[in-house]
Amino acid sequence: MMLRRRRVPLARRLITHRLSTIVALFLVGALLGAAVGALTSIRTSTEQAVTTGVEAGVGDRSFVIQSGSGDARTILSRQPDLDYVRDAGGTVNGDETTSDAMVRRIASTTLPLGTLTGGERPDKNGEATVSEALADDLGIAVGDRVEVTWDDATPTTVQVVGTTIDTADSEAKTIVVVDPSLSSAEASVWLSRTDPYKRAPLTTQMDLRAITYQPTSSLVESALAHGPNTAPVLRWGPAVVGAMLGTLVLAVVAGFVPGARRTATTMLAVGLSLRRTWWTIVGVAAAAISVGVLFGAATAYATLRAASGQVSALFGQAWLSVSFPLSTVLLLVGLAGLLAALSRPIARIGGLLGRSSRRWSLVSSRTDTAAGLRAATGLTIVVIAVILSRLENPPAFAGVMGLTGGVVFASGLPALVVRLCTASLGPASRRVSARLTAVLRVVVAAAMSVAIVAGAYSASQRHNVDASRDLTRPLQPAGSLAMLEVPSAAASTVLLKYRELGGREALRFMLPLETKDLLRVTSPTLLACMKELDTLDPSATPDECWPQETFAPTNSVALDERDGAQPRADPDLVRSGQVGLLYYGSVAGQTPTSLAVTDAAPDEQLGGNLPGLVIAADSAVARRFNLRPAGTEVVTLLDFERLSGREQAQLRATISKVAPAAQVASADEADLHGPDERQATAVGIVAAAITALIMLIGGLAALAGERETRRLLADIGIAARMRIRLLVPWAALPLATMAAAAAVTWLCALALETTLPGDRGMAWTAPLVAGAVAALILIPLAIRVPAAPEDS
Amino acid sequence: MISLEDVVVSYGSVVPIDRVNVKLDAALTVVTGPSGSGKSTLLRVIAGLQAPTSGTVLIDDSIVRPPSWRRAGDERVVLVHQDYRLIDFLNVEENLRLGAELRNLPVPTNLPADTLERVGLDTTFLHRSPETLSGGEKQRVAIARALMCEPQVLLADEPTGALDADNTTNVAQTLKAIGERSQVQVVVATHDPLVSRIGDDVLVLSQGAVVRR
Repeated sequence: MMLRRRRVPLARRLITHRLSTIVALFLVGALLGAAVGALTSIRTSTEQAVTTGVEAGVGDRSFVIQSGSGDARTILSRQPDLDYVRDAGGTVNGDETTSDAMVRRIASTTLPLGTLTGGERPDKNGEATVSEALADDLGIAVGDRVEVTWDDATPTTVQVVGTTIDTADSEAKTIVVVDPSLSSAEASVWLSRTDPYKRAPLTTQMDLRAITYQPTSSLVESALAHGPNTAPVLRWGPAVVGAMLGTLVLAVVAGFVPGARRTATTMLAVGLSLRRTWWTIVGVAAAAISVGVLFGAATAYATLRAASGQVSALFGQAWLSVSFPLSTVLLLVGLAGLLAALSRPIARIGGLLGRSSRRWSLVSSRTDTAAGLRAATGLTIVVIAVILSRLENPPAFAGVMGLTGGVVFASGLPALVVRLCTASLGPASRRVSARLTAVLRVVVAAAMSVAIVAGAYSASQRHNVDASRDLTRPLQPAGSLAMLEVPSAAASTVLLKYRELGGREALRFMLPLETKDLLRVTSPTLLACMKELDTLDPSATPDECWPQETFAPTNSVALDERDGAQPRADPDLVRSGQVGLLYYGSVAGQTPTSLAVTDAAPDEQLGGNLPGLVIAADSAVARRFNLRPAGTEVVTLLDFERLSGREQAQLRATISKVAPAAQVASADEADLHGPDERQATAVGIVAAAITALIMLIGGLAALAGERETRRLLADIGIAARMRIRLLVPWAALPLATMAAAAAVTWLCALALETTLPGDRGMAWTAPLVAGAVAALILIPLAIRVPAAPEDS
Repeated sequence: MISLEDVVVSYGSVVPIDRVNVKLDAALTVVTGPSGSGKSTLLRVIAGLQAPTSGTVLIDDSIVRPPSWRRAGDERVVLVHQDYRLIDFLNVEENLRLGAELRNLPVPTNLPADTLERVGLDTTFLHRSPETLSGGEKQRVAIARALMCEPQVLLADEPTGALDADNTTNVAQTLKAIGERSQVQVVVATHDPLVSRIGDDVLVLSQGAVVRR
């Protein structure tokens, strides 16, 4: 019998031959998969927890409805098929301890509030579910009886039949009590499976804002926009860590290229085709990384599952499940495959870049005589642009002129720097140095142009934003969270949670019923203009009649429940201790029916998103204009941004539960300059990435193009110390140029921005720093002696 | 004087230099042997362009440091290659000046012309591009460039390998003259019998070992 020798696949033989390399690629792939996979898993799990928390908080109904108006509540109570909840702060007594808790009373046993984790839902009078946090606090379990007190009522004893959890707030202390005596008119939140706006009796009330409603999907969207998933580490972490570790993977792959080249030479020598050799090596490397990614992500997922309680507690949540980062794994494996597929074109382009840079250096090293002139001309243009921009009526082209000068300066400066760096060298050495830096000069000029243009734009934009901020007042107090149209009962519950989390300062004003009478506050100057023009239409007055400093030149009026409280108003609406009043006898009217003025003291906290005027509910003005509390409030939590991110998320979870239809805005969201400021920062960061890429890719091409010359210097006996003298411009050129670019960017920003004082921030320096860092990475590569032909 | 003490260069089972122990003190030493006998490797080790696997190389009792990622070559030594390795974007005069300039050596105006004369070339070559020279002329420019660096040791690796008989004779005579008339110690690696005859000392290598002297 003839024995056939088993044929070992080529890839397997390659893996055996290069096992250490394959293991290293697997490990970096695993590191990438674990880090990015873990961050993605955590982010997705936090999102899931927020979504589940909001949906379970409204009993999985599709719409939530709220109203503070007595008439509207009566209309709501007559609606069939609406579930309702009465939320209130209260206390729960166990056998030994007492705990503050949110008491949620329901009349219907078919409303599943909270996520059930043990026992069952209450289905008759006197039964209740408690949140796990409350059960732990009181040391109670299913089957125990507790005493509940709410709304200052007589304590009621209920039996605990189940435990629940709020996935978005694991520390929420909540008790859901079945109370068949609860009437719909007493509810603080109504819940509907269908669109309430389509119910005819509610439509008019909703148009008058006497009833407000929100789809649950909007609540989820809003909660996701502010949840722990938006923490910078989770929002940017996967991308940033992915980019960093992806770079590490590429660096490791690059480190193995010489070894792979030797393996390829051997494989070609034994008669394998170039195509098969290439794809075998690249395929095995890509597979090793991909398997590593999958392994790392799976390990991270398993670890997170095992420790989900501890990890979710870090975010103040309670995860029911952990998401596997499938899309991330597919993306990373896809990227590895794509890079493998593109490896041949990339190698060809790399070769072309090297050859082109060599050809270019032959030309450009002889054509830089006008560089000094270009640099001087550019600088002159920039200085003239700055002078023009400082004139009383600066020409519109000053900014563009400055940037143009900056680019002209950038085109000439690198050659000038090289000349200065090599001034002490002999003529032959100068020529070699010029040749070695020929391509780098072009690269640095391009990078510097990007840094100057983007940096000047970023600095001037940020400066203008800062200057504008000084001219206008913010929409609400710094660091605050403003909630509009919060039912009074819900406002108390939110404030209870806010104080429990450590918040102290809060403003609370009642909103007047505006179904019939509508009063707005403005500046007396506007009223004077209207009288002068003999009109009741404020829009008929010229711009200069309107107060310019406030974002709300006509604003709402709120009521202070404290008897005899002194009237106070947005300082920008107060003139000589008075504000103007516009009274609309009918909310449907487009113009006021009468005008008036009243005394008010300026209050820095009012205006913008908050009411423009606050008067006592029993004041003469309130009586004159028939202002009665509507049952809804404006609540401003002044210490909101002092709370930790986790506490903010917990507070928002409570708001979405008890005041789901309220309009909520944080000071950060209400900052109208925010988008411009973020744009200035984004321009700086994107330009930094572009500058670094130009420097790195261009610098590597420049090094590849002059590889032979650098090796030749070692071969002909020019020792390290002497060779480094020739390469000094490689270090000095980018660093000195970027330093000069900083000064020119500063000048260009002056030409672009307003003459008002303002801060330019730091984002504008990012392209310059990135360019300098990229240059520092290139320096050792330039000093490194390339391998001799004999060594390969 | 160049001393090689137990110098071994090996790549796995391949051993280009196998325990070489020699002292070279002649003005002109010729290292000869068949192709693959280790001549070029020996010169690269002496020049500090290649690290020995084991052993030490000394010039006047001072160690020749092996190359690192940022360093290759010893300042006291200049190696003249078979393929000349002239810098193509510099003219002949600039090629000659380069090494001297970077060593901070004074370069009087007439020095490049005088050095060219020492290798048998006249001043008309000074402003010519290396691309316009013949093989023999390039090799003599390469030798002149090495002389401009005022090295202690001048190594020449197959300096006549690409030359015809007339040019071989010229280059050999040039090297002999340098060995005789200057303070520079010259070591030439060659398999050309014509060049071997000019040596004051002749080392014969075979399979990496010195088999005859």
